[in-house]
Amino acid sequence: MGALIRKEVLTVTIKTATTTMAAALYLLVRREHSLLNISTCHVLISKIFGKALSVASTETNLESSQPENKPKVEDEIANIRNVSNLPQRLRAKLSHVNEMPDLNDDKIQNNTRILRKIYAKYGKSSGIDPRIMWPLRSELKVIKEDERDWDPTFQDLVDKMKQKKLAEQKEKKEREERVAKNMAMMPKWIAEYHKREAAKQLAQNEQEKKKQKLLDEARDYYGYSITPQDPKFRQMIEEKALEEKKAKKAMKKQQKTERAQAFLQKQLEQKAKEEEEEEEEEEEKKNK
Amino acid sequence: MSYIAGITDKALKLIASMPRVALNNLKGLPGSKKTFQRRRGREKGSKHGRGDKGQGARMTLPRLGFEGGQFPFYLRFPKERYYEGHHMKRQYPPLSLLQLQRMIDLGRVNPDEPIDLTTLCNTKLYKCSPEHHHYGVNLTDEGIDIFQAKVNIEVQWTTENVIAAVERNGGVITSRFYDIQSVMALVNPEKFFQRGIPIPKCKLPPEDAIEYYTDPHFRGYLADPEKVAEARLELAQKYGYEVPDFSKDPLYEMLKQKKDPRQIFFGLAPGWVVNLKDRVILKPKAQEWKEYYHS
Repeated sequence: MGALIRKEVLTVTIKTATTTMAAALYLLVRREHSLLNISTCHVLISKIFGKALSVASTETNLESSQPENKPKVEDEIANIRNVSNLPQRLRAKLSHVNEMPDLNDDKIQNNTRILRKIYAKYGKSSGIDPRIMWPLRSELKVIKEDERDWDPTFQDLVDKMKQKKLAEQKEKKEREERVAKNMAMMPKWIAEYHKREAAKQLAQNEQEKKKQKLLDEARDYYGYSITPQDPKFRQMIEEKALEEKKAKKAMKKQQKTERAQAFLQKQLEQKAKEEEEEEEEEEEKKNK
Repeated sequence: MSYIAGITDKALKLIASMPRVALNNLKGLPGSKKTFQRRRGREKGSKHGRGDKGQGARMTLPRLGFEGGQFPFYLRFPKERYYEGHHMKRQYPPLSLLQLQRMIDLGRVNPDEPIDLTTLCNTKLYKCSPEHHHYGVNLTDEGIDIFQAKVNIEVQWTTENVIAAVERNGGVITSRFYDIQSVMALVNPEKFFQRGIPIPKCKLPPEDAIEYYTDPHFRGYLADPEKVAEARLELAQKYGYEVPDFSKDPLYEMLKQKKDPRQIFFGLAPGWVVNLKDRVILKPKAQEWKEYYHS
């Protein structure tokens, strides 16, 4: 049913394409055909068709005198048809619209990035000043300052690379020298190591011998062999240590007394000597 | 003495009457605050894209890396020092000599013109995405024995044997660095021209790449041309082939074409704007801009 109405309305619009009324009718029916049934639609179309024809006859005279009237009306219709209610700058992007956005829009006017894009897309016909595509003098100043501060020059880069290389070479050379020096010392160090190891072994052997000797002594003392962990063994060692201590003390005491005796002896001898000397002196005086 | 005291008093009074930096007059930097646009419309507006109920809807999701009380991964494993800065490293997607030969044989690349990153990307057989830190092409040695084309090619990274393979056939190869902005322009020039901005001047290679691009053995674009000529001879002797004489070559004009270290596109200088609609090139006239783009 919808298709039928549309077909009829289309024929109406073709017939009265120049008239505004028929176009309005087309829109009306196209939008609301679902609400109309076919008979009411026919009535409606025939009613308006008659009117439209009469209007067309009057308007044909008007059109010849005012040709600019037509696009204005079409714009109005287009406005009615535009149900999305999008702002022009966004509607312009839609694929079926695809027109240049309005440059008077604040969001476009203040956005250099978008203005550049518009110039790139529409060229000179966009009416934009092509100077917009280059940075402003103030921006250029900032760019130059940034480059000066952050981008090293070619000479700087090369110098740095050479320095780095030299440092690496120096480090390598130093390491090689250090290794050569140490390698020269190697036989000496190895000999020293072996000597140290031998001394260690000797000390260990002696320790073992001493331990064995103690164990032997313990066996002699108790009459049977015992382990070093045995408390009896420990007791024996303690006793022995005590004895040793005693002996040491006694020895020390003896040495002390000996030393005192020797000192006394010496002093007595000295005194005797002095007395002898005095006697001699007296004798000499007497002789004089 | 009293005169000085008067001045200090005045100064102190002045300071006392000045506005203080306090919580009530502190402000964030312009652009520091980002506003979140709640999703609207019939499809997305009802729950604003946050799902139905729960932690997501109430914005009470656990913190990043939290594994529900389990000892989390980011704490369980120590840092891997050898991965430091790996996300920032320059990438060079490879292209083999075999692939290049195939492109030439199939007519996707014209060997009678200098080949650069744009040529390779235009084949749609080679992909380079600067957003993934791709800095250009790495020409690899696969198919080195069957490579027979004579080309003037510009690559971003290559090896000695590949250079030998290209030069044996009488071709020219250059290692050339492009900064990421230039790579973006090179991989899709049309998209770049649609931005309506001047062609940038190419930056110098970074510190860790300067050695490669000044090395004549890798045909670096910053190397001394005389030393490059010497290196060509040296390489020919090493691999056992004769270096052909360029000046007698019918393709001499093509083979000697080389970009300026600041230049990105052949035939276009930095600072120029290409307008595809009007089919014109716009050049800056003011001295200050000219100087900047030519330095």
